[in-house]
Amino acid sequence: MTRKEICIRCTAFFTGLLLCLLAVSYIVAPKGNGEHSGFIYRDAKGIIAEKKNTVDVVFLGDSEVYSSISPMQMWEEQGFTSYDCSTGGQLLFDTLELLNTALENQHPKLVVLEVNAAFRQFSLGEIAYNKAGEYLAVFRYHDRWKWMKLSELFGPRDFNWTSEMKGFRLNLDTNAASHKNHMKASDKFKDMPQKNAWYMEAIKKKCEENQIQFMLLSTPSRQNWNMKKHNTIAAMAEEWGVPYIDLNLKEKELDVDWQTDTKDKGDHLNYFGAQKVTSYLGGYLKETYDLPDHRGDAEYDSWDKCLRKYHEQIDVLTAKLK
Amino acid sequence: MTSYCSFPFLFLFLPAVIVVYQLMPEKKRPYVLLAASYLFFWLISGTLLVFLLFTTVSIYSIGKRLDREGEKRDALLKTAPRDEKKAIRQLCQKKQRRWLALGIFLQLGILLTIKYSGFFVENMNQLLKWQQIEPLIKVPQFVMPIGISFYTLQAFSYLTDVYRGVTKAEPKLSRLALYMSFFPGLMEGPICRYRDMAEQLSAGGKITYHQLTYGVQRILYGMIKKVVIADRLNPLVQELFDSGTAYDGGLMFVALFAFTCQEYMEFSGTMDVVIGTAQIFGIKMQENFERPFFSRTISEFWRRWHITLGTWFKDYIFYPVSMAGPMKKLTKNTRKSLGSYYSPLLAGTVALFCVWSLNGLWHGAGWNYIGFGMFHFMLIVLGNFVEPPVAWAAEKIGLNRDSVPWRIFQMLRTAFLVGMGEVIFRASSLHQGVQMLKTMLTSFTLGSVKNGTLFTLGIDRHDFLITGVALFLVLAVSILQERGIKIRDYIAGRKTPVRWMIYYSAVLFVVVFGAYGNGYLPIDPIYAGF
Amino acid sequence: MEELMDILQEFEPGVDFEHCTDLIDGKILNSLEILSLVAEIEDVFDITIPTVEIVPDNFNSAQAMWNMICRLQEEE
Repeated sequence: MTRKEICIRCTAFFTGLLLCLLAVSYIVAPKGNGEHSGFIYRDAKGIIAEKKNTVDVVFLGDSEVYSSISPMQMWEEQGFTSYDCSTGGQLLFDTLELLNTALENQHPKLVVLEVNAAFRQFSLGEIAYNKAGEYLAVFRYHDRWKWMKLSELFGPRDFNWTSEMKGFRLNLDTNAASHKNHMKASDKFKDMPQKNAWYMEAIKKKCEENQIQFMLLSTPSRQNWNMKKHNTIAAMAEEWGVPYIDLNLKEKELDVDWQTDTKDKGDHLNYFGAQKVTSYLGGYLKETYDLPDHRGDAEYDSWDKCLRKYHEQIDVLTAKLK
Repeated sequence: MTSYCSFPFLFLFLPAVIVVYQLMPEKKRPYVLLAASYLFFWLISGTLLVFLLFTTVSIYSIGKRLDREGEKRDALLKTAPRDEKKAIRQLCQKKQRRWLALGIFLQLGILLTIKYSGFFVENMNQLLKWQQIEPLIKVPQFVMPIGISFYTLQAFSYLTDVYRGVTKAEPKLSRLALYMSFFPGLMEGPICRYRDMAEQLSAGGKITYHQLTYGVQRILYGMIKKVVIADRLNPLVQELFDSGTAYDGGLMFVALFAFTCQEYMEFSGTMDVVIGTAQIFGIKMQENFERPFFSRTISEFWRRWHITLGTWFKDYIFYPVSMAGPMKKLTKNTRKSLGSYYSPLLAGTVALFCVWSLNGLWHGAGWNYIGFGMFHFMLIVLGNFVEPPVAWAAEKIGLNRDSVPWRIFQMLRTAFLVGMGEVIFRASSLHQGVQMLKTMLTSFTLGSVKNGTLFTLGIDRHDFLITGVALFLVLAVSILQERGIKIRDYIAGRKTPVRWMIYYSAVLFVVVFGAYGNGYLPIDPIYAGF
Repeated sequence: MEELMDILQEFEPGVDFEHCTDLIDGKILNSLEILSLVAEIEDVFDITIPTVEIVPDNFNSAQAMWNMICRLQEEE
């Protein structure tokens, strides 16, 4: 075989393989994003079903975000719309992917990045796997052969599901944290892995390119945050000329009570803690970024509907608690 | 990069090495492999690379010393009168022995310290506690460099072979370094011999179409075993061994079967990936498995399972022990009274005891591993001793021991015994392993299978189904191989569309039915921990 | 050589020792049989076979064994 023949053969072989993978991807990919669709990051990606250009603020980050920031409460108190694009144990390449997803259909005024995920390590393999899954759904959804029905293949496509709490997860459990002060003064810096720094930069750039205001945020967490991490992020924010608020340093203003406001010993806040953070943060954002008030606007009817359901849910859970 | 079946190894590291290798001129190619091997080691174990470097340099210089002594001896022998020859030989042997001892001491010293000191100190402290003495020594903990158990054995065989004159000492450090670190075999073997590898490693031949396709085929087959079967069984195995005897005897039998499958599929699958990878570079590594579950006896099983470890123990432990002066005398003196079958059995049994104690310990510093070794030791010895009476009895009752039903019975029996050993091997302690076997044998019921508990232990009906299908596939391939049918040559002889359909199906099978991605935890390879 | 053939024939009747060249690699002789064979050869030919010599190359065929025996006799 000549070299040319080998090249042609290889190209043909891999093209065929790619076609096969695309075909299987088509088969296994979810045909909707609703409850039983098997869609990955269902809550966080529910933003794709929001009406075009109706979301004012996008919150990015890991479980800290969906535990401590409630978009429905912000709607009720401040009148601007927001969405938690957050997933548990988020890695920064997920964050970037979620940002891209959010921007497909929305042009928010502000993107807020909760930085707890900024120090979470990941490998080249994980990045590669994630990228492969983005383009060839089979890598992400291959396991769906277990639940798939043949009818799905020919049935309607339905990507209209959105989270009623806009990504927030309601949790009323209480599990008190220790009394230890997690923000002891320090002038040391926590190292950020190079890959992480690269993705942080990419997220910021993406916002710049789309002329979206960008800010960094830390929500209160006894177990996850400390002064060393704060210093690193603060330095980064200063270098970029981007605002950074660390709510761990504003416990007094927030009035966070680590005995009652956390669901898992200071790892995450519960609903009571989230109320405090959301109130404070909502007011701050509204004031600083001059966000619009859509309350009463017929365009935003659905948000009022969601708000009623939000309160119903809270009532149910509070009743259970008693 | 934690395993050969991982995304970064197969899709980033290996393609990169292939491209760089192919672009380099022939003479530089062995260096590409060496650099890739060290990079591979460094990516996993970082600066612990110094251990490998130290071992390589030390066996390199000691090997050369051994050779030089031998050359001196040969020069003297040429001119020496006949009656002095013996003295010259003995003097040389004495010197060589010292060098060999130094070399072995260094290698074993490192391995013992890093791998076993914790275990020994822990047991010593326990002993002291029984004597009511407060233990003084803290249990040391070391991080093991990747593959140390494997490359130490390779170093050992190199030195011994040079000493025995089986192979010449390597004059080129880089070649020896590549032998010691060649990345496909670094993590889980096969344990190679220097004389088999030296020429191939430095050949630097171009990667041909044939090598590439055959290598990739082999890798694919290994992936099916590892990613579809072994990894899918993992949650079940973990649950059953974590809870131990909380479940009934039927499930303990499932544990035996599932772990034996998992281990065989994982280890032999990884070996397919390893050997396939080496094959791409035109390097033929020794096979480590020869369809062991078709073995009729435990001895045969060990000639077909982890073959390179078995032959290593045979050449460097079994023969030296059984051929040592006193052992030989024993064999000779008992020949008249015991006959030519039983007389070597005494020496052989002593040697086997050494082999199996070490084999158990090699797998890990723990009593369950020693228990595993002793279990196989007893089975083999028992098999050896009862063979003549069984043969006699079979003849008396007219049983044809080569008939198909009898052979199948032997295979199933051997597989079951091996499975029992695997339970001890996998259990968190010797005690737990024995308890699990006891539960299995004394309270065997099918209750948990009937009421569906089986499908709630980490893997569901779908998983069982696909594992079954894949196992059947491997079984079919094995039976064909056992009959001497060359499946790969058969596939290679088909027309392109047929061939490609086969490849595509295999790839899609792994991609769709592999246990990876969301909902699966990454799994560390079992053998890389040894 | 004939003495050796006698030993071998007595050892495992039915094997064609004259032509077989893969006694070890073909798994015709196992390790215990090797032990026995070594003892026998040492006895008959009055030599010592050191461990170093126990390699497949020396035992794969009757001729190989004979060559080894001759060499060792010379070295004695």
